[in-house]
Parts: sequence; structure tokens; C-alpha cells
Amino acid sequence: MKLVRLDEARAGQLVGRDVTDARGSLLFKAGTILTADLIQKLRGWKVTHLFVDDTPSAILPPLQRPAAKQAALDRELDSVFTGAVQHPVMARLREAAGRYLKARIK
Amino acid sequence: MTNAPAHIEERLKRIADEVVGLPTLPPMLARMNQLMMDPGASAADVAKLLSSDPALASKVLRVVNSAFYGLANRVATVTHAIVILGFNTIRNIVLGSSIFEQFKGDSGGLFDRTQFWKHSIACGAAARALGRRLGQQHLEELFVAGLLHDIGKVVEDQHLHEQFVQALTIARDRDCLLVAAEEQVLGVTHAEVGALLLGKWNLSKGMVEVVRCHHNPSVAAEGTRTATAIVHFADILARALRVGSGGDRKIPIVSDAAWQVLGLPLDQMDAIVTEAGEEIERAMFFLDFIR
Repeated sequence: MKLVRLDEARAGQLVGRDVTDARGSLLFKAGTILTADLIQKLRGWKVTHLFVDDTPSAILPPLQRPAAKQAALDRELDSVFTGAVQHPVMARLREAAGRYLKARIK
Repeated sequence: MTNAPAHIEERLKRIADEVVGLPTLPPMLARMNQLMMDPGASAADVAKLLSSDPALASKVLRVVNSAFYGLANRVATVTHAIVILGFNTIRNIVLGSSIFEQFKGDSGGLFDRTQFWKHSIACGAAARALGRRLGQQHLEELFVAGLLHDIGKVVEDQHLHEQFVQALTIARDRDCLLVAAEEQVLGVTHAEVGALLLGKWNLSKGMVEVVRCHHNPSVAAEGTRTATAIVHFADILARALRVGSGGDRKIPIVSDAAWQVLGLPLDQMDAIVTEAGEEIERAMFFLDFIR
């Protein structure tokens, strides 16, 4: 894992440690895969540095990337739907959205 | 104008007074509304008006010829577009394009305008897909209602910036819905502020009501309940599909009243999500208009 400047971070890298703002509020969890949108967002939030995980276990061979993306998607949906899935419609929606989005992961 | 409780009406009135420069209706749209109320107006009259703004006319043709409408043959003139798609659709396309024009730009910080428009376009597209599934007639109006459902946030960002940033910060730190944080900080929500703006613009009462009630569809006036329920659930679909962001990352729980109005069988959720997702993909070219 290494600390990099935001302008050195690249889409596809794994975030190595939780990213927080200056007041310590959580912005993104460790394990998130960086995307261009995410880097743009971090820029907007004035984040200047972050840890990216470049240990051999984190640098996944291309064939494993979709699995990592699917896991990250599951974590994201679980987090977004926290407290909502007790409702039967929301539980169905969480599952259906997960299937739809996973089918599109390359 | 609205059926909001007295204290909210009072607060809104204060906001309307404070916000001296509430954005005005784009002039082209005002002229188009006027022309459409004239029973003697023809497609050629509307085409002549539209052609007076070549940039807008070319945008309309790009939209008409996009996969979003899926027309078999290419439409080359504005008059042809009006004949094929009708006045209302063309007006709604003009409305969408003018809104982007009026509200483009970014205040920076927590409220990312590009992500906001992505979410708004996604909500509009999901509303259109839901409307089609439910056999609704006015799909374009559903699209525009979805596109405008959060427009109050842009007004807040421009005119009540500090309080809006405070609400965004609360929503982020507590991971709650922005609408709840707005109630706490501003005493009103983007839904009410948006309805205030659209009312001022003389958009249809139905459209104003849908925007006002999209977080609370059970209070929507009779006659607007289906459209409100559609936009309410379209907002949820857009969030579930992770397209853009309206300034918070939480997902609202569907209103039981709205779900009952929609009458959608739970076992069709995969089809509902797929239709919405595909419609959203087709609608994303609208983003070019804000760049």
C-alpha cells in the first residue's frame, strides 16, 4: 500500500485505506475501486492524497477484476440500501438492481 | 398555489421574497407556450419560432433523431419533427434543453452539478419507462417531470447556498436523505422550492404537484397520483441503479401508497429494472447539452 497524490491516482486502483475529509467524516471505504467519476468527486471534496493498495494480492490479474468489481458493487448497494431492505419492495429492488448492474460489469 | 401546511407556505413565501432573482422562464419557452395556446397556430408557426434559434433547433433535431425516440427514418427539419412527434413533445424537448442551458455550471464542493443532471436524466428516463409499462399516454411529460423533480436543489444551491451546503454536509455525515437535512436546516425542502419555481414558470399544475409531492406521494392531489407515484419510484430506481447523485447517497423507501397506485407485481422487478436501465442508457446523450 502506498500514499499517492490524487493526481497520481488512476481509475481501477483499489483504495487502500478509508478516505475521510478534513473533519474525519468517511467519504469512501477501503476496498473501493477508483473510477474516473470517483477521482473527480475526491477532487471536488479537496482530497489531496490517498492510500492505494498495490500489494501483490491487491493487484488482481485482469480475469479477476470483474469479481472484485462485483464484490465492490455488492458492498456499495448494501450500504445504499441499509435500513431499506426490510421493506419487501426495496429488498426485491436491491436484488434486481444488483443482477442488472453485475450483468454489465466487464 | 400549493396545498402545503401554513408554516411551510409562510417559509416558502419568505424564500420567494429572499430569492429576488428566482430564475425566469427561458424566453423561447415562454413564446412557445404562448403560441401553443393559440388555436390558430400551425406546425409551421412553431417551426418558424424554433428556427429563430438555430442552436436550439439543431439540439431538437439531435434529440428527435436519437435512440431515445427510436424513429425509423431520419428527421431533417423542425417542421417534420413537429408533425411526427407533436407540439407537446417538441415543447418538452425545448424545455429540457433550456433547463440545461439555464442551470449549467457548477458551484463546486459537495454538490456536483454533472452528477445531479445524470441523476435527473435517469429519473426522467425511468419515469418514461415506468409510464410505458403502465400504459400511460403522456410519456414526455413524465420524462420532464422526472428531469425537473429535484430542480429545487439547484435553486437552493444558487440562492440559499450556505444553508444548502449545511444540509448537504448533514446528509453526508449522518448518511441521511438530503430532504430530511433540508427540513432541518431550511424548514422547507427542494420539492417545495422546485414547485415554487415551476409554478412561477406557469408549468402545468400536474407537473408542479408531481415535483412538490415526489418525496411524499400520498398527499398528491387527485388526478396527479399516478404521475407522482411514477416519479417517486423512478427517483428510487435511478438511485438503485447508481446513476449520478442528487446530493445524498441514501435511498428512500418506497411509499406504500405510491406502490399501491402503481400496482406493479413484485415478481416483475427484474423486467422493471431492465426497462428503466436501458431507457436511462438511451437518455444519457442529454448530458452533452450541459457540457
